[in-house]
Amino acid sequence: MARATPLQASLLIQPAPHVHAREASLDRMLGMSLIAVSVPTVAAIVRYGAPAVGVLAAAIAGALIAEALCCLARGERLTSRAWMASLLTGILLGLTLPPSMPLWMVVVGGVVAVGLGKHVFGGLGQNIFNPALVGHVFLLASFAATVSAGWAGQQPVLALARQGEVVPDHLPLLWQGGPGPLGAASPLATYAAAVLMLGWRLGRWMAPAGFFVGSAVLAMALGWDPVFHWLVGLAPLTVAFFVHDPVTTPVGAGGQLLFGVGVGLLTVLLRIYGSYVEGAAFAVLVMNALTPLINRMSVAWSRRRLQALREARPLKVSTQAQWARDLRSVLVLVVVTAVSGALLATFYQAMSPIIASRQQARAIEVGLKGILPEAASFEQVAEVDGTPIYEARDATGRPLGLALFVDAQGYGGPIRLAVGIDMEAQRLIGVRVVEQSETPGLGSRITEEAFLAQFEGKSMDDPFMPGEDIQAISGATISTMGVADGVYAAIEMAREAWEGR
Amino acid sequence: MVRMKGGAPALAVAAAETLQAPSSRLVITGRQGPSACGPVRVKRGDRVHAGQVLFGPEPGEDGAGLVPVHSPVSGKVVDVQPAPGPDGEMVPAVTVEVDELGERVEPLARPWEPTQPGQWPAAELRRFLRTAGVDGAACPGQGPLYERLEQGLDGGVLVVNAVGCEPGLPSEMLVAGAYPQAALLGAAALGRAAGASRVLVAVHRGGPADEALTRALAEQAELRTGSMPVEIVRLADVDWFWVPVLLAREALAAAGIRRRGGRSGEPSPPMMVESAATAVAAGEALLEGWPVTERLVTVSEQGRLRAVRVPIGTPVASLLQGHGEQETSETPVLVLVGGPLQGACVPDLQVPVTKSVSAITAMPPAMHFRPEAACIRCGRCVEACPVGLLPLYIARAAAAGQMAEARALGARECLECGACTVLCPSYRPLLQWIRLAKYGRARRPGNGGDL
Repeated sequence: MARATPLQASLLIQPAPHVHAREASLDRMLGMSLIAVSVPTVAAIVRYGAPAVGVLAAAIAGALIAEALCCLARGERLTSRAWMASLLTGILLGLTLPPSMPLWMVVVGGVVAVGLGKHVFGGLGQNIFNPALVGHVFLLASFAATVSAGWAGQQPVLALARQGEVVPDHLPLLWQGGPGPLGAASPLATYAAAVLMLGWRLGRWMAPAGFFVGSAVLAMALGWDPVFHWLVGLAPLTVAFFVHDPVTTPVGAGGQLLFGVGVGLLTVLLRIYGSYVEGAAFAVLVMNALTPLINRMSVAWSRRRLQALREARPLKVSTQAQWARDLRSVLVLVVVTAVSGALLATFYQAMSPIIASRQQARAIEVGLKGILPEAASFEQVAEVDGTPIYEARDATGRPLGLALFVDAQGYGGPIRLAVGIDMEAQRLIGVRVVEQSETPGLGSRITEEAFLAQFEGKSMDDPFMPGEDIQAISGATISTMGVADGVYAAIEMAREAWEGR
Repeated sequence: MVRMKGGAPALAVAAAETLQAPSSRLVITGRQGPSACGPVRVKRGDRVHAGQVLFGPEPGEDGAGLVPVHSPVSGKVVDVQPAPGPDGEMVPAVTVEVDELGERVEPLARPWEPTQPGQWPAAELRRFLRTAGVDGAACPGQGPLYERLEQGLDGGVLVVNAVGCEPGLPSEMLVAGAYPQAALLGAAALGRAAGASRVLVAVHRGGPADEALTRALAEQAELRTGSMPVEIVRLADVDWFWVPVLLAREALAAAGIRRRGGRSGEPSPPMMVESAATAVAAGEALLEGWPVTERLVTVSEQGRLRAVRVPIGTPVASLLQGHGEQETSETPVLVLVGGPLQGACVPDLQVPVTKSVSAITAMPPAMHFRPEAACIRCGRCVEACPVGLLPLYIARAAAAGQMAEARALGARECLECGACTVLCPSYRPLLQWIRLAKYGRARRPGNGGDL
């Protein structure tokens, strides 16, 4: 371009576009994410109190220290967006941890999250893996038991489920999550944050939808309740935040859907077969690693579309009014939800016998194997009053005795017992409490080995009376009586089954 | 599709203003639109009449492909030497000092009925429009008008954009709304000249142009039913990035002309987009037998819109009400030919208006720009792109000097609407990188530059 006449000093020359959308700003995106993450944060603090505050503060401190040190080392300016990004990472890391974490560990986790998770790759926008989850997994690898710990002597709800024990219903779990990470203190609050993230366009619906579908399909195929998987552990946090991290998730709609499906499948797979209790963190990190590949697929799809464009095949453009488009997308969403709901329901219906038999198999595995560790198989031989009676055999096929579950009435509710009986010797092999809700410290002592040991080898003809042949737990007479009555009832049923052969 | 804050312009079309303080000196350049104009026909000291040819072939001469430029006024040629055009590039120019005599040349010959372009032979109509200096482009970068018209539509569809090219800058809507009769007549003429089977005038449903054009069409039975019928297509949602090609696709779909993907078998009809300003110019030339020497310019100053009709060659400065003093002020200001999304900066307020200047925007520079940050791969640009490109990857390839890769990813398919760049939360100059790949050469040898 030839030089024009002398330019006026006040006239600016710059290439178009000359405006920038006010709402498109990194600082704004980070600020709104922080507002969204405050919802589950408040829920965690309300539920766990000071320990939650401590863990969150330690995680934030670790993250901010690492941010400051890394920026200093790399000679970068500490911008507001750097602080905000690290603050978000810190809070998210804190939410992945249980309230019982020792604070020094959490600080280390925060430093690792921002230092190893982000800055070694070159800072904001350059990292491959979600920084908060890098910190989480570092802590998990280093202090597995501490990170997987529960709260107030209870195991995390995921661990309970895996041991085949009965877990709370969906609604109580939604309102107040089982023991586990701070981010599941109230899954409802975390899902509220997920809605905020979608509403503020900080994420799109594809990845969460993919997560729900992927996790549901695999959970049901493996005989698990899918809704349970959505409510526990890191699942709510993953749906709300980790699948929306722009840096480590795919750019296109198709890619995001794929990402979500992958996270859902891997989460359930790792939860059921993995060596750690929770698999969601690994699932997200694995999909993070696959994200560059998914983005390459998006590039390939784009090239195909371009080929169509170059061959003058026009793109489809909608001509409807915006409200009609909005209505249409709502309708599509409703239809998709209804259809997938119906599909899921049908699938669930078809799967429920399998789910039931698998749950039973798991209960046998956990409950009856506890009494008869040498047993290789449990085969149902009879049913008395709706209670299945199993015959245990060892690896050589030699019968070891009968085994069954009975429900007895305790002080705080039903007590579920597993009872093993050697019918040849007319003696009890052993008793285990599978499930109980007795008073902690009193009635709950029925689960202790010292109490249960007295049943081993007892004759079937004993009276099973607390104070006579049963050593009662002081202060828990009703619980003791419940167990004794339950064992007695089990013996009656076994006898009936034995005679009926 | 991206939606921008601001919404569709709901202004009524005020009667087009005429300039309060017309300039006494016009600088008429030898590049008024996408077409070539031809050699200068006057010399310094000549007296010229209004309507006299300044550049290009005289009426009656052939001058294939050249679109003449006519003097809007009678006066004296005081200078014939290159001057900066609206974009600052030096082009041949004739400076005319306006006199009071008001002498005019003879009107142009119209051998067929001017109000029924359908009766004209297409070649004669093209020749007439070219002789009258009708020129224009539907979007930046489009080629000469008569190349498009002569190539012909072969029974296809001509879409006339009477909406606008940017959200909030309804220049085409204002032109069509101010001169509805000329717009319809010109649309029919362009359709006839291009051999179209249907002519669609796309308007914003319920907008001012819709009203004016509907009334005008109701009054002109021969345009509704003649051999070159004109239809008005009402589009509901124009509150987003308007790219004329996309507008045309929507207009076709709204008119029930299916344009489906190639795989489904049905071939798409050929399609052409022209702007309402070009149609108005053609219509006025037919109605009055007078060459194109004036232009209705939409002026946007501090968010206020005006439509001002000025002779070509008028300096941009005289269109702006509040910016005469800006020349000495230290406050930086952007003066754009076009709108804030796609407009080009004016380097000097004395540059002249040409036939293809649809709008002048004067605005303070946007203050919320921030220094560019790293791409966080949020995918907003992917969501925004009307063509379905992946702007982040094209820009990345271009920045790495991999121009062949950038083009394979669609740099040349980019319509330069600017949506990606406007919406990038990291303030990355995506469009600038894409333009580099679209037009530029490979920066380093051996990395796949294919120019």
